[in-house]
Amino acid sequence: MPDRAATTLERIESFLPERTVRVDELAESLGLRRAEAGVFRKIYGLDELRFDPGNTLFDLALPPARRALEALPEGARVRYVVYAHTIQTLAPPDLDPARMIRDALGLHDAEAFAVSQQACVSSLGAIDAVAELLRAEAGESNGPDGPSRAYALMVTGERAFSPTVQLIPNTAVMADAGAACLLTVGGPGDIVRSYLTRTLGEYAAGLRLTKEETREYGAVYAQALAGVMRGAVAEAGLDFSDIEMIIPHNVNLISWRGVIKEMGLDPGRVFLENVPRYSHCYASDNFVNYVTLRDSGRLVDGADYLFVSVGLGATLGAMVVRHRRR
Amino acid sequence: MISTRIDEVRAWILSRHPERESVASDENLIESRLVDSLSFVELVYTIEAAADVEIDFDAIDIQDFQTISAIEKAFFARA
Repeated sequence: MPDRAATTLERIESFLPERTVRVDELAESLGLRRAEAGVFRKIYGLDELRFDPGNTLFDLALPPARRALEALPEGARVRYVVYAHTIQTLAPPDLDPARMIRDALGLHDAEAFAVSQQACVSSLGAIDAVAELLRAEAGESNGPDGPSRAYALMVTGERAFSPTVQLIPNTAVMADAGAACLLTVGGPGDIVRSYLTRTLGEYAAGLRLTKEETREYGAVYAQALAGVMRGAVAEAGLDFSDIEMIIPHNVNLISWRGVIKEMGLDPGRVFLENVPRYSHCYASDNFVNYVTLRDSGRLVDGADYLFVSVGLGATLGAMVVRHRRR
Repeated sequence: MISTRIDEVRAWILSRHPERESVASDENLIESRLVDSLSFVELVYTIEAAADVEIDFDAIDIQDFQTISAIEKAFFARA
């Protein structure tokens, strides 16, 4: 059986609104007591975040999407636009944000759909799903070894549009951001070497978990996430010491402290610098963090990185990506 | 044995963990999950009540909550 053509990430871009607020400033609207706001800030490490109620989700999603599309080669086409989001309902039922994003980008021939079933992991899951569609299409049109001229655009971008979806009690304060990833199969971009998820269905209630269930989830979280991270690295045929850096979701510092302790990791190998600056931006974190690292020249050509994310409900996901400078 | 106000914090931790008989002063409360994300705010209120202080979050760090000894030093030293 021939090797599957690898998924390649050709361009990743992100967008953050300029308006910065401190967690303290949101305490009243979120119903946080003084001590709760203090714990978020000093213990969970969530200090500032980008939050602009004047924006729509399109203001977050379209700028990075347009920049990512600049990497589309002449003559290539975007076959799919997939909008990955965490909150299931973001628009009235007669509006389809995925199609609206596609149309705003002028990609009228592309098929547009949304993925949200894995909450904040949906962006990684969307890349995996749409790459499979591209592979199937490449196999039909070009044969299994043929290069694909078809691309897909994965887009994120959603707003913390109400206190109900901005506060995950005792865990995170959600923030605004958007991101986009132009991908294909067999291209010259960063290579997706593995992708692994595990869904702990017993915690599917998400924000409606009981205190006892939340405590149980907290007790198994680090070990379960460590298992998914190790599994993704093993599936890529690598040893954990081969991973240059973990590019995480920005849930909070104390959760990462638990995972770092569980795995015996060097804390310097987990990129946490954006947690106090941007907080947790739904499905965008991995891509926002990637762009920070890339734009500051900190991604190493040929090195392997581990994207890690966790979604309410509760899906744990990890993707190994080999960076190729271009 | 003379009970001190830091013992109120120790008693609160033990009340949440009936499987435990004691907590060593240098035991890491976070890594051992004696205090988790759900209970951190309650820990803050327990310390404030026992030490009769209002914690200034601009002046503290997570290290101040790592162990019973650290809590005592950070919040009870002037008592």
